[in-house]
Amino acid sequence: MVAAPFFAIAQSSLFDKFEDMNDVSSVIVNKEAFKMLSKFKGSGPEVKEYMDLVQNIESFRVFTTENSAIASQMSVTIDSYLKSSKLTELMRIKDKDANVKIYIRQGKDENHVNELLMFVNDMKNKTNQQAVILSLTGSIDLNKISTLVEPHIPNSGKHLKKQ
Amino acid sequence: MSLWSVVLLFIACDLTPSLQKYIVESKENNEYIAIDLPASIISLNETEVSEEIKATLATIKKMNFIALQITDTNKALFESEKQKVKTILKNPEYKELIKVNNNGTNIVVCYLGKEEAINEVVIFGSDNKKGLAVVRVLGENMNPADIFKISQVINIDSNSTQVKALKGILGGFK
Repeated sequence: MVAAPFFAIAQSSLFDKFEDMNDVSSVIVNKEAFKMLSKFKGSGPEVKEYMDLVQNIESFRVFTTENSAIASQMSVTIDSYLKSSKLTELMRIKDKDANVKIYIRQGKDENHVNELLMFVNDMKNKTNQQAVILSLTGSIDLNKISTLVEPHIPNSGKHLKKQ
Repeated sequence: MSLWSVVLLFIACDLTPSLQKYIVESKENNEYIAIDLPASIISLNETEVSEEIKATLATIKKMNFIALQITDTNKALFESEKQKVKTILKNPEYKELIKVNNNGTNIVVCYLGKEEAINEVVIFGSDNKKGLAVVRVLGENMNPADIFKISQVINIDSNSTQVKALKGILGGFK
């Protein structure tokens, strides 16, 4: 019980301030939800693979905005977070559609990371999205993560899989 | 029992009933729509079911539903009530599962208890144009995996007055 408040602090993140902003859409899924999901056993190899992937996830957060002022605020927050955290850059992709940056914190081996942070801005696509922050914590298998990331950041999967 | 654990116990008891208090107060407020659904409206599709299913079903006790619909005159009340629920759910006793926020519509799902023995599930939804709703499912050691398993065989009595009232309200929100 004594540990509970500290645990709660560990769960919150620097990006949570975007959650209450009107022009930001967010999805936050916590460890407990992934744990529960992994108990709804289904059958088939895809289900098994999905369960292996989500079992060790601590949190999953996505913040999306169509507001350019908030997009630049997100960029500032990402920069200051990178300065204070031990993340290393995995890759940076700049093409005609967007500017994508991916950062990781090394996990138990070269295929696993303990944190994955993606930031996409300068988006030029049909949707009006300006910027997306995607943050994943927990033990994450880089080879499998595209299943979770792809729906939020289209075409990101092919970049991650290249690893 | 040490003084420290007494203090902790006191804090725990002091914090957890606040949603209960909020629901009771909302029921007395005419702006709110409130419905209590007893577990008896959930019945089984088949008459012959295993004891295991019956036991799982017995862990669900009742459901509270309250909603506040925005009108021309109660916008301020909506804002203050929304903050009230948000503050209650910030209590770390409520373990947050999923939170989705999209263009002024927010949905939060959280629970009290342990992941395999849940005592309370709270779903809080709010929309800056329509209003807010709180659904609370009360039970005793509810196991989500088991409930998920039996969800195929259960049947909600759609002719009960409570369910009809609920449908009426939900229709009004659209």
